[in-house]
Amino acid sequence: MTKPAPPWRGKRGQILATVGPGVLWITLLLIIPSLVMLAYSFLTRYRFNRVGYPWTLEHYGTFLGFTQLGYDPIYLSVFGKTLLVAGGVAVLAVLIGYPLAFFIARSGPWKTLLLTLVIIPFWTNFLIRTYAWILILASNGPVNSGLQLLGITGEPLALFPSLGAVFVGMVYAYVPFLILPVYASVEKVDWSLVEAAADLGANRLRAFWYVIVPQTLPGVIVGVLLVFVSALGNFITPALLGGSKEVLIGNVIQQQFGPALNWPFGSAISFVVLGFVLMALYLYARAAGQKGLEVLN
Amino acid sequence: MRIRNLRKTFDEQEALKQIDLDIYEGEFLSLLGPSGCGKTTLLRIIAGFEQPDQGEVSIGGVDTLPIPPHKRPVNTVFQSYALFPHMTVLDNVLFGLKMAKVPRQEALKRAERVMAMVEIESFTKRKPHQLSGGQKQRVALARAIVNEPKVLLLDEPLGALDLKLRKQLQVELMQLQRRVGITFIYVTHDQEEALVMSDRIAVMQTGLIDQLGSVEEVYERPKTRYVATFLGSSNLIDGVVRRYQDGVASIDTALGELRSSIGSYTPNSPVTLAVRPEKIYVKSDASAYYLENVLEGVVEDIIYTGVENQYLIRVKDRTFAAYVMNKALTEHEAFNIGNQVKLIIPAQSVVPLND
Repeated sequence: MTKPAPPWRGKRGQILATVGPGVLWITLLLIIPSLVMLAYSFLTRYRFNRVGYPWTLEHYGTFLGFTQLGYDPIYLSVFGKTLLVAGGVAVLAVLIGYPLAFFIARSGPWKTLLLTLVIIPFWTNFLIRTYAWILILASNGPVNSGLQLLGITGEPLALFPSLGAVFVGMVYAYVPFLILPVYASVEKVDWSLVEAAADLGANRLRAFWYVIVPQTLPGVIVGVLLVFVSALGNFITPALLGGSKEVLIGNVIQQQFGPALNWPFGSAISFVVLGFVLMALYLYARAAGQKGLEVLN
Repeated sequence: MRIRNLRKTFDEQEALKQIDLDIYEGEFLSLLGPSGCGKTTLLRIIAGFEQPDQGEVSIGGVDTLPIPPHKRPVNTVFQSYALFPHMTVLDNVLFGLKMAKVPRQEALKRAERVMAMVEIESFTKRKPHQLSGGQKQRVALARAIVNEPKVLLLDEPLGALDLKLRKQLQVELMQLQRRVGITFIYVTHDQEEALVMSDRIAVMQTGLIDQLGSVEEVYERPKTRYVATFLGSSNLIDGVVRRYQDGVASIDTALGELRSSIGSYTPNSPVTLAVRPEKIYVKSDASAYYLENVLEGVVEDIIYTGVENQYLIRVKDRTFAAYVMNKALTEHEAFNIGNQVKLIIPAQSVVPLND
């Protein structure tokens, strides 16, 4: 048996022209800087944010809570809280986004309009959208005035700044990330299977659970990953809506690269976060197997 | 099962105009008609996926229309199979029993028995996308009959399969139906399929049942022009009844006088006659058949199908189709294009149509 010729034989020029720019871009602007950061995270920090040898695990140790003043897992607790917040945001996004995506996919001629309405906020700067929530949740903002007008509350509620406001801001910002992939998977649902389920004795709820949920699950997983990963690294929303108390890991990293001028420590935390993201992606890939790849494509 | 005065309109398009149908327990009934004749709509109303505008449907004396689809004692084999893609073959077959809350052990036993019956027991762990068309068909069948429905609805289940597999499954389906004794209502546009499998056939056209009867009845005694040509083929001849006496009618046609000894006639009224091509004898000498109708013609064309020679024979200004079995003995004669031949049409093969 002769070995089949590799598909790229004699096409070097074409491949270079098509794949080349992308590879170059990613290498120059993503892979090399990441490797530099990885190296930073293992280097010793000297005064004025200079770094040098010897290699050290000190920054990872600091993250785990081992400081010169003894054991204090402050960064771990911030990271734990961040994971919980990101997870919570993802869950809320599913609860709000899934029914909405379903409704949009089933709304016939209105589909395009509704989908556009979901996407429109993206055209506005993220900062502006977040600032808007400050106004909305302020003590004299529309939410509080409305509640008082209706006589539900007497005094204005301290809605902002708070962890609740951070949740609201993030869920609002990220829910389209969930709606779009779920919408795509609802669009692909084979509705004859719902009839088949009904024919075999499933009421509406069970037909939904046994037939529609498994069919839309890949979209939900993709959406959850997008929301979770975005929320994990977010520092703008907690900075603006959380006040000084509600610090997430994104704020810590931003501080290290900004005012604290401790780039090796900032790099170390970034790589821990990155590790979690990669782990989540790995778990997803393993759970979804080949089918997941089809969905991502 | 009783269906009375059923009507259904989609967007001012009448899908079903007036359907009355009694279906007996344990029979194999085919709804036969071209696409758009309403046969699938009728099936979907029985299954509960559509509500009729008017009329009644009852199964075993129970009014079925108010019952939602998931509580009806019917199951469907869908044209596209509609197998659950994320479940294994076994889970597909078990689905109905799980919904009915049949205990797991008993459900497994029943599923195994049915899967053995349709010969899918060797790939119960596969997913639908790993199956061939014929295998999917069997899974769809097993998934439906495992629930032991009172009525099984089949919506062109063999439509997507190739001819050879289709013929094999036709026989298997028929035998399966006899074995399990479930009433089958089978929708098809394939007249041969309907003839092979059914006990009775309802021939449908534009929302109406043209004729309902046993396979032999519908084939041998078609009532309308439509049935005579849709189910098999027929030579149609228009004429006027001259005499009707002692069960034998004489009809004046453009081809001369034809006699018919079947059906009833009204003298002096116009009538259309149907003659099946395989009922016509083609001979060079018809002197022995002077009691039957004999026409003279010229062979215009011959279609050789292997099983038979299909002669197209010119008689005056009409072309007749006559099929002669391809046998070696029994006074077999073969003709060539241009040969003068005699067509012998037995009086009992001349069938009057209502319209």
